[in-house]
Amino acid sequence: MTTEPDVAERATSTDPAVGLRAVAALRRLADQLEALQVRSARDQGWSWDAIGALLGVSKQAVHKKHASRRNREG
Amino acid sequence: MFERFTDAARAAVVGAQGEARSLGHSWIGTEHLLLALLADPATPVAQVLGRIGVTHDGVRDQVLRELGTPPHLDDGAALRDLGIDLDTVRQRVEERFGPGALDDSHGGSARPRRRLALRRRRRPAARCGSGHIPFSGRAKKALELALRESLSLGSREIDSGHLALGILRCDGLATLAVTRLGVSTDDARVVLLDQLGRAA
Repeated sequence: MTTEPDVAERATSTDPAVGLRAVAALRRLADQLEALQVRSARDQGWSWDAIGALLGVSKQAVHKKHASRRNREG
Repeated sequence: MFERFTDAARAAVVGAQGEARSLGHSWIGTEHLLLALLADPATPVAQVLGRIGVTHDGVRDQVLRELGTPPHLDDGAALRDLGIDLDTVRQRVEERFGPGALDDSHGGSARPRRRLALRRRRRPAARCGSGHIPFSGRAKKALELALRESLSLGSREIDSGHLALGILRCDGLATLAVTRLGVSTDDARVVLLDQLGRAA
């Protein structure tokens, strides 16, 4: 016999509103961690090339995304 | 100017940064200054304002109602649904990189759009990990007015009460929130002046 909480749980797990919100939250978290780790790597003297390699993107891409932020911070 | 601030008033100015950050805002406005003054209910200013119905939660609700709830405020719940505990992540990051490390690191998250036309000139994006968030024009004005309030009351220092008076003199999101809580800024002034009178 199916109990009510089971039904409720299944209903929410396929709810796009819940799923999409989770994806957005995950992306924000990943972005924050990326910014933190890139800054830390640069502080430790890592090259953009080495950082890009581990992030799976080109050094240009990672530089473009993070270098201006660093400059603005002064 | 800040050298004349008392420790409590200075704490509020610093606290305003945290209030702004927790709401995902990239500016410090009068609303964040007011929230910082109300953050600890045990402080004299929070007490007298709380008695007439101006509380931290109340003001925060009004600010969110006005600006919209930034999506990131629900991230904890959304990630929990995936089996990720955001608090644990934050805690580990802070253990290794220092307090506020995660929240100070901005990815590409969208900033909340202002719904209503309280116009402020804001310089574009001084967002960053260094923890510095720029003051809005109104918030700066409120700090100036706090100085004026303290001078006109014959005080040598700028205390949190003067700061509150300055904030209330400055039409912005703080006064809007107070008014929406059903409190007139005049009434708020009266209780603050009374408190400052007793403290003097």
